[in-house]
Amino acid sequence: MTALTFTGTVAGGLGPIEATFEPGLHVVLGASLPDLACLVELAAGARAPRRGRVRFDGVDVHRSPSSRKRIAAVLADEELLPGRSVREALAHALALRGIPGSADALLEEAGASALAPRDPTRLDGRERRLVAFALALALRDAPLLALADPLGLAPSVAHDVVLEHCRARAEHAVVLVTTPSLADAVRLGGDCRFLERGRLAPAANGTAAIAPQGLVVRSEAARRLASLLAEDSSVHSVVFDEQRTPREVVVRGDDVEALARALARVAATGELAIESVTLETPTLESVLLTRAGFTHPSFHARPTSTRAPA
Amino acid sequence: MTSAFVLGATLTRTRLPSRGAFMAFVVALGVVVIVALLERRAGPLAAADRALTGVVFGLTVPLLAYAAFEAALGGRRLDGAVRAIALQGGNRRSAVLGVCATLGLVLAVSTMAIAAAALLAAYSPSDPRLLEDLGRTTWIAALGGLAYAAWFTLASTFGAAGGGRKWLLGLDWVLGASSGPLAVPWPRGHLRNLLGGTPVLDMHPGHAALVLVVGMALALAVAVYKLPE
Repeated sequence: MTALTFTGTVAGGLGPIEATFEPGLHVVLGASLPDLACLVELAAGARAPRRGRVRFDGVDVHRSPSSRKRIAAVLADEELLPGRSVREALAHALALRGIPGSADALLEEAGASALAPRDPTRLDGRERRLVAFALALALRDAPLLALADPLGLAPSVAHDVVLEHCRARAEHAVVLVTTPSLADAVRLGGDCRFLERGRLAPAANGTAAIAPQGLVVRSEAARRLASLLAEDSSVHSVVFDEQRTPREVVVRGDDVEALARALARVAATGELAIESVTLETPTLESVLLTRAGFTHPSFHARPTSTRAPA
Repeated sequence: MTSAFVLGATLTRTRLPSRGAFMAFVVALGVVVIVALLERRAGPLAAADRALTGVVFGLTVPLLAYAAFEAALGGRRLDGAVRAIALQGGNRRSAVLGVCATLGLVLAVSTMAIAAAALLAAYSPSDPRLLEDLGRTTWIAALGGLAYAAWFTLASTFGAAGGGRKWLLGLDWVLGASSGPLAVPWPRGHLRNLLGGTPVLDMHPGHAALVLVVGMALALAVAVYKLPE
């Protein structure tokens, strides 16, 4: 069975970590950027653990070049191979991995064609990560993807491209994604774990805690929309602040899908134009407080909400 | 052909040539020439020997080797310096051998140039000993450059950021200056012996050359063995 396994792994500020990632999308959410970066480096075999092992398919990734060839990675701090241009550096990477293909085509696919003639030593961190992402896109058969904050590549790479790539690959490969953004973790979906004080927290708690709780709707007729939504049975609360956000309504309930259906129904009935709808996610602080057992409403940084009439 | 070895060599070739590195070499060359000229003025009889055992192999070559490794490895450990190659599935050991071979070549040529400059400054152009000394010193300089390259490769596997290089510089400087048993592992004492200076443990110059070569091979083998593939 294909799996990425951390066994008593200690490195940097991490550990000990005991975890197994099987094929599918795994999102690790944490506030410490160095720890998140370290986790991806360990998974990619770019860093040796101080103690313990990181194995993929039972093979120590740090010690096995053939294993590393099978891993597509985008590290938090990328470094490119030497070359007179990014095109040449990328071509070296493809040749080393034994993958046929054109560096120019890869860069174009990732929307980074402009980088092709540039000196790789003169790229900034984001540009280097973009080139690494272009290479990761090319490794279509890689059974393991380790990506550090891939949604952070926006606007160079559209969120949709990253999400589509991660989800498509998760069907047959282990996709390990780290992010410091709660909103990005929600967008990515999949199995979510917390990285707190260097340790991975159980998945079940994490998934429940970061689930989206509402929708943020923008409309010219926000006042009317708020009053109509407040009457819907699937809506628990509606927040409408006419002074500060006169064109925005936050609607909350148990089921986001049901909220979306209610919104569509209300908009159709009232003939109201909707400008945009986005998921509302709790703040990272509120999630951590909930996980720590602080459930009193005053611990949650929320605007004052108006309870919908029963 | 793209291999980890070739990429290791290319990586060094990319990182090493900079304005700073060029200036460091020019300054080193200038210092050596000035000191050799001063030695010649102080006493022309053994000016070349004093310049070679003193400012050239006692000071400039170890410092130059240290600076070259710092620049080529980006102030990192040996494995960290080849991380980009390893990440693409390259063998770290091959990559490190590529780095080391390039640095060895650069240091051997630089040491030969510095030694030649010192001799040209220490002797008057009409001195018949100049050509003879140039021929005798060239291979010692090449061996010295290679030996320091091998030892700094091993030293770069120690410390979080390759801090072992500083330790090697200090140990070679302090312990290598003596002629007792503590000087045996370090290149400095044996190079001094080959140049006609005080031998380490009264060793024959031929044995000193052998110890240098064996030490070089051992340092390189241990450095490569210490690294994971």
